Amino acid sequence: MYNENLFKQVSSTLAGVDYFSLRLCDEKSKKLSFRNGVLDPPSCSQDRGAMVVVHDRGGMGYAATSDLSDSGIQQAASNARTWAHRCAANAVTNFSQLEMPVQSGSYKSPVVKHSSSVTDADMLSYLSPLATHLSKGSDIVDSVIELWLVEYRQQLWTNSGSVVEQDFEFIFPSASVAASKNNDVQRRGIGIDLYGAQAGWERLDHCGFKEHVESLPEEAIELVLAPNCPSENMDILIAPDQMVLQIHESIGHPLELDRIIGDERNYAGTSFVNEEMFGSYQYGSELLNVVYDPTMSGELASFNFDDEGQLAEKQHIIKNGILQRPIGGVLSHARSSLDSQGVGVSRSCSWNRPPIDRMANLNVEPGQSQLEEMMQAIDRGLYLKTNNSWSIDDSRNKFQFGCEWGQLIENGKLTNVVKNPSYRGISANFWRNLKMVGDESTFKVMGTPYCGKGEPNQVIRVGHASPACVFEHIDVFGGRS
Amino acid sequence: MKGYFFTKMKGLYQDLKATERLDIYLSGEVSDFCRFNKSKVRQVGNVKQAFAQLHLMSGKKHSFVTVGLSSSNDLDDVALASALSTLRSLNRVIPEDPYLSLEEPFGNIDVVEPNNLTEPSDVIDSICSESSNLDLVGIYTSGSIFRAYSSSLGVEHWFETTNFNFDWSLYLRGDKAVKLGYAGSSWDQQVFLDKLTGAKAQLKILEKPDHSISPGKYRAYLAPAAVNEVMSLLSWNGFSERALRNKSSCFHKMKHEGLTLSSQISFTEKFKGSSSPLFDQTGAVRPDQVSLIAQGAHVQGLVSARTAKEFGLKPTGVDCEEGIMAIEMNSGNLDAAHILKELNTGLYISNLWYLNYSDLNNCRITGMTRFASFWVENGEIVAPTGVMRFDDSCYDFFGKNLCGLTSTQELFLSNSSYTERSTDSSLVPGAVVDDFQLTL
Repeated sequence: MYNENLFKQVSSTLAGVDYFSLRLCDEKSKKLSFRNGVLDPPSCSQDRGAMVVVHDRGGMGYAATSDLSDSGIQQAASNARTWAHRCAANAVTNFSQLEMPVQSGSYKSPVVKHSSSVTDADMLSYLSPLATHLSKGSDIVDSVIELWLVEYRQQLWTNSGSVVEQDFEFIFPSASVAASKNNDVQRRGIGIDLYGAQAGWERLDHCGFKEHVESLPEEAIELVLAPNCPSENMDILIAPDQMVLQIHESIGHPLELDRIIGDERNYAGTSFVNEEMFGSYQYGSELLNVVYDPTMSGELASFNFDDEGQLAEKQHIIKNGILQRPIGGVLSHARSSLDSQGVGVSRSCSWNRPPIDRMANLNVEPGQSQLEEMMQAIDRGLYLKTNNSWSIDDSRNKFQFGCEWGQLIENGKLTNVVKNPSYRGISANFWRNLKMVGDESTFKVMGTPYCGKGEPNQVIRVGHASPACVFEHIDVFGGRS
Repeated sequence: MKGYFFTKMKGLYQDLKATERLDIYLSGEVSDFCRFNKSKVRQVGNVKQAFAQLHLMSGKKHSFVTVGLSSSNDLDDVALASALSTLRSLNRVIPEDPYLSLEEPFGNIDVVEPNNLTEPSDVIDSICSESSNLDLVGIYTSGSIFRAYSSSLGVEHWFETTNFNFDWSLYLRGDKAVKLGYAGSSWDQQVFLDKLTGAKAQLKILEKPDHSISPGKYRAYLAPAAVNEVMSLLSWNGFSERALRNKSSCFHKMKHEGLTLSSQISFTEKFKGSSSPLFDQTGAVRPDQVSLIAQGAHVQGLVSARTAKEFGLKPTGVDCEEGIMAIEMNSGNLDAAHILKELNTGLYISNLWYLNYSDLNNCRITGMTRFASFWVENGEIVAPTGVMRFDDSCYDFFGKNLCGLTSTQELFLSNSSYTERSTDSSLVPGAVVDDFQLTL
């Protein structure tokens, strides 16, 4: 009832404007972490606010406020309209002529056991022995284990009739341990991108977090004693937890439509892809199939509607290696020369930032090859796991990525572990070197809560799922000898 | 907000038990943001936000809750009461923290800088009209930022600044562009016009065909904006005392094995006179400055209150992340006005981008050139270059391969606005280096 009152206040303030939306966000979070076996002070947050967006007289303006009193939201509505009017003459497009989505519905994260139903004492009892395990050993110089729980509720109303309510629950378990020997330090971890999901407490058991944490110290010590990765051109087998980063940086970002039409050129960058390439450009080998899939249960960016109310549906972005459509919402599509419709990805990180094009769930679809089969196909190569370094140019072409864990593949078999494994390439060529795609048994659903973009800056949750994949003729190298 | 905040917090302290101490750190802003593309307005709006971080200490147990404030009495009463209840509930079940610092803050800082901003819509109109035949992209941000601290022990600090930050680029085509920034407390139209004129002149050079460069080692000039990007990466655990001790700092070999940078290099965190508040989140008054690296040798790291307690050190007035906020890199002897002559033949790098560690233990960094970079021969610009990847160790390019630093430094006011507008700043020179390693 309270929220409907906010909509009424905005409606009465903005009577007669061409279009307005009211987006109300409510987020609660809790973070529990141990460093070297000692509990850091727990931290929680409770945040609530609203954004009003107005399209009127050709202009667009927004106003965001944490003041949700009647006068506070009325003031925000008035500010948004004032900005729309003041900048109408200089607007990039005639916003009043845009056809905004009209949708109603809801969404809830698939949760079995809400984390809020677990007591703080039980959470600490779960984490504490794992923290102690991680911190043991004379070669261990640092260890961290963390649990981050988030509940996020968003409601959207528009004067065109949209009423959308979406409730999300996230869990992000992570851990890391550093071993030091012979003047070297190597870290092995469970990144926040590995097991983060829309899920409740059940996620910890389902993903095998505890067992994985228990293996980390031994792996870190094995790594610190390992030789450096050799420098040579070879085939690489990339595990899903590195594929996540590869997809994100060299498929996701270059295909975001706001980058292609120039909005991000001053900050996040442009793209080597242009509007003419859609429908014909050979992005990767014919084994490459990439989908925007907001329907994947439990993936970080699953939802039914984007933040402008557009329906979110599964779509092919790349099919059999051919580029099909960009990742862009209604506004970017209307401003582009493309005939296609948006794919429901106009999203914001919270109430205090406006929606922009975001990649959401972007997944590589499974292929036909088993893991064993992929290894056997490599005479001399490298198996790469767990990203720890990433860098790519502003057109999203020249990249260099590093991993925590490397293992040589010789005559079709895994052999020596190597440290500081890195590889570099050019997006436009790299995906065409995709030689084998793993089957369902190698397919993992992951994502990151930390994708940065936009002016003003926004960090947002995105999902990626992928099988293991083999790429041929890649330059790999290691650390400084 | 100032009066409201301190009054509201005092009300909260009345509900505390004798064994409880409550510290509150406020972070808020009222900001206007205008985003440009192709010299037109893409998105424009206003954000009003305030977050109070409550830190409840119950004996040696403690926890934090950050709560959004509305400035509306009734709503905030409910939110704050809920936050306090959450903290008490947590403190009942957690163990005592051996690293909790119970140092009592002192003094009362009250800094309110005057508001000399031009009406933002007037600035936006001017930007659009002056660049109407160009391709300008970027963001104009303006408004007030406030930080405050209040404690049930009676200490109160307030910091409020009002400024603008215009972060923009002028594009020729594709990725060919000139990057500029203009930030301060009052908009000077002539300064903007001069910057625009300078950028247009640089665009003329970018019209020339690219000079192709192969991977290899090159003499290079890193302009202050490029050096500033390196500093941004180094701030990522580089100077944290905790990270230095647990060997997750890129400089841990300086502390533990005595590695050094060039004796020309000194890094100092200079709080005094910077754009950041003079108090940290624990209410401690920051020192005037902290020497981190002097003449190439490690001096000390940045020490938060918690790290200080853990290792028996003196805190240096930084928050728990132990990142740099107001770094100064010393100047050198090179005349920036004649830097092309000094470079002679090599690469003039205006900006770097997307830096990351490629080998953290050896402070090896990879990243890209971005925006206008030029090939220089015999002290003259020959042509622009395409973007190139570098992969080189800080121990080399700020070590044995450092030829010199410019005698003038450039001030950068951070344009970061993740969650909130930053108050960080940096003061850095340009650097001429030999054998800068390009890899792709």
